[in-house]
Amino acid sequence: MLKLFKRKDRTVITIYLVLVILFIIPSIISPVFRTYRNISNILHQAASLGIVSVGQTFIVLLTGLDLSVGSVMSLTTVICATLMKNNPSMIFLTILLSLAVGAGIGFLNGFLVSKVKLSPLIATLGMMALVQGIALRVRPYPGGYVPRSFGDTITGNLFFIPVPAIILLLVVVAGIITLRKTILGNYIYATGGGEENARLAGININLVKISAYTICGLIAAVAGLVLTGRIRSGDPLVGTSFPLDSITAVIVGGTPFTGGQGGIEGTIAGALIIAMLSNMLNLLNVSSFYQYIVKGLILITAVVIYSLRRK
Amino acid sequence: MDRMNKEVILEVKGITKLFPGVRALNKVNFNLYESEIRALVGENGAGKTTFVKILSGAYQPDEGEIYLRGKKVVIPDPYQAQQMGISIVYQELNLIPYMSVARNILLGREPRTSFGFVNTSELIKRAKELMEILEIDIDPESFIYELPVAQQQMVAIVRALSVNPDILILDEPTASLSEHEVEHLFKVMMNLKKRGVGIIFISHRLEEVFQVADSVTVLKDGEVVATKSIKEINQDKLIKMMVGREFVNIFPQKTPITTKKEAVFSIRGLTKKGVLKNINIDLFRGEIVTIAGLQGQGQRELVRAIFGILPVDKGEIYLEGKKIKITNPRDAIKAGIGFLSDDRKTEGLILCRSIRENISLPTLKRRGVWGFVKRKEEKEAVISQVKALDIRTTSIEQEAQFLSGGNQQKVIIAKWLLSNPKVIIFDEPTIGIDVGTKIEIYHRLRKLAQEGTGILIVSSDMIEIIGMSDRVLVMFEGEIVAEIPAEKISEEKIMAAAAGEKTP
Repeated sequence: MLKLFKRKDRTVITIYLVLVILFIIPSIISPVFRTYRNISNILHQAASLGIVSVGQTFIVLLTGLDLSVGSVMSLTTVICATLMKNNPSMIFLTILLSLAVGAGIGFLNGFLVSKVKLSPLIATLGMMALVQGIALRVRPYPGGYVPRSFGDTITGNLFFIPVPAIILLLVVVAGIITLRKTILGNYIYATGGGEENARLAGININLVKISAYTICGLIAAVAGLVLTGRIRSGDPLVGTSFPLDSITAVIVGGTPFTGGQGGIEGTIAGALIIAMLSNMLNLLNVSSFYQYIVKGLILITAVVIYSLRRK
Repeated sequence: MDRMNKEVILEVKGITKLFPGVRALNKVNFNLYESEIRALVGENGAGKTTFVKILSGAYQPDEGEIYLRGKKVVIPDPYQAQQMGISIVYQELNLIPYMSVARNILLGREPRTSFGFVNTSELIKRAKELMEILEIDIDPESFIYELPVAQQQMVAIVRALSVNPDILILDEPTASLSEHEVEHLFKVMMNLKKRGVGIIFISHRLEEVFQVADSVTVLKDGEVVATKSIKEINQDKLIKMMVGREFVNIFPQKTPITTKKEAVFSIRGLTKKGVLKNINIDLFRGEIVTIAGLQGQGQRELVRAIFGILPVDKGEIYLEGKKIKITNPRDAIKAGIGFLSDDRKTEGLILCRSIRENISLPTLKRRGVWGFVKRKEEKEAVISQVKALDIRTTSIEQEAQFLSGGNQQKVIIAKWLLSNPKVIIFDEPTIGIDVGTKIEIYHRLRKLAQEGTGILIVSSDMIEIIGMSDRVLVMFEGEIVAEIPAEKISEEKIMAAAAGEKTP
């Protein structure tokens, strides 16, 4: 038992080791990196990515992927910057509306993937373009603003801990509990591990998929809200890099594209690794073009390492 | 067998293979002569697959030496193994479905035109020639996915032989073949034997071993128990060597129903156009009913229709007298029907998940509160089943893929037993399972029947059918053509009906 248990744990432990090393080395080299301000900055940056990656994990576990999360995040910023603009009393309703829109888009993804039997790639690619279009229609250029109270709360601190980090933590804990402790979570692992098997065991796999995609959409909207707090405006293209980044975080975190294994525990380390690398490259004044190159290399390297290990 | 003037083609000396924590093979010695058909038998996990993988170059031994025709060799990889004259047909066949038969046979060795393109006419001609040698009649231009499994098997064998090997290894070639097709395969094997090829034949069906092999090597726990000429041994002795203990009875005593017959499960007029014709079945409490027949007569479809996998045109299903409606597997499970597929990998076990998760999957909902799993209760239920069925594992958290075939099947049985079904349908309950576990499963099934669970088996294993059935239903072209009661069950009767002979 221990032997196998260790094998799984080892993957997660290895990722966290990489994370720690990536933290320690620049901390020694760079006095700027180890400042409270920079670390808190990293957490702010990592928060929206970490949150959306939690949702992405649900989908990758089901052998799918969700390319529409970035568009959902952009749309959320646009909705907030439009509806809350001169109307602080609308804050609460706008938050609820954003979450509902995110969940609704996720539901549509799930419906297309399960009932219509589209491949996740096609369904969410289509949804990505569609939602992107809506965001651009509402707000062709970045603009608008959100009430100060909203922005300050979301970017503030609670007992010296950045609020985004707290939201991230809550989403992570809720995600882990859902996957590990609930029946739905068990069904997601089973369906991802073998769809036909799960169906023959009497599981309503369509419902499982729709639930997972809805959760992913909802979480993407949460990430969008955190992002809105940071940019304090609406930007129809702000989420563009998140599909790639979140999938990279999931894969680096040890959930294979073949699904059924892995989990959020690893994903979070993956997201933090990506955020920290971005931060380091920023500190070194490396152009953002190179950041894309680095992310691409990380994704491919991680997959190669995992496939070698699994042999 | 006269070995005196035959050359040894393969000599394996003291092969040991270690896996983390396991000695998969321990000082194995093995000689194969020209024109010899050697059966390799043993329970699952005995080391047969490891041995074959070493001969194919897929694994490297930790100790020991291999000689081919007296010359010491190292087999670095499967490609080199082929070059050295060792050809293998794996259970999975490894054919490419959307390519023609001819292309599959000569894959990687296609004849070319002077421009470097594939010379299609030459390709087809060569493939035809190869098949003619083995007296196989398959259109070389048909696609693999269009062919029945038996013909795919033949294509795989032709491909293996197209490199003119000295040694041919067949890994459970008969597992998916009907009796008639097995006979043809054996003919092909005899044909090869005449041409001097040495054959290593892995099979769980011992009667086949006695039918075709010249000699047999028994592996147990990674060691060679014995290598015997087929003439000096019989089936009982062989089983004893494989299992290492003696059996009084492979099959449990049948228990005729003495009380009033009470139908647990009934089917009326089940029909699907072109597949199933007006199927009527009554399954009485306490009895085991087997559906027999040649491969592909609708048995697979029938059980899948009952379980709601395959939609039907019409028909009614009754469970304990009550009419039930089944449109998908969920309905069937809810009503109290369990189904064990013959395809364990895609329709039975989630290989990358734990034994616990696999066993508790269909009953998870019953063990939930507010959507959360009651983990302690789940574990207790799983552990009780693991103990009851003697599933050999170090932990219930072990992934299903690390279990032997027999233990995997036990996990699937455990999964259904937990749901307390009224009826369990077994599609080939012991396919690819070692003798020891087979016997355990047979006894378990009988006990379940005695406890009142209705048991319906689909089987192509004649010995199993005869040994287990209280009643045999024979299917032919989608129809039940004969019903044979316990006292009249015989191979001749079943075969006659299976071949479509009408019995009064």
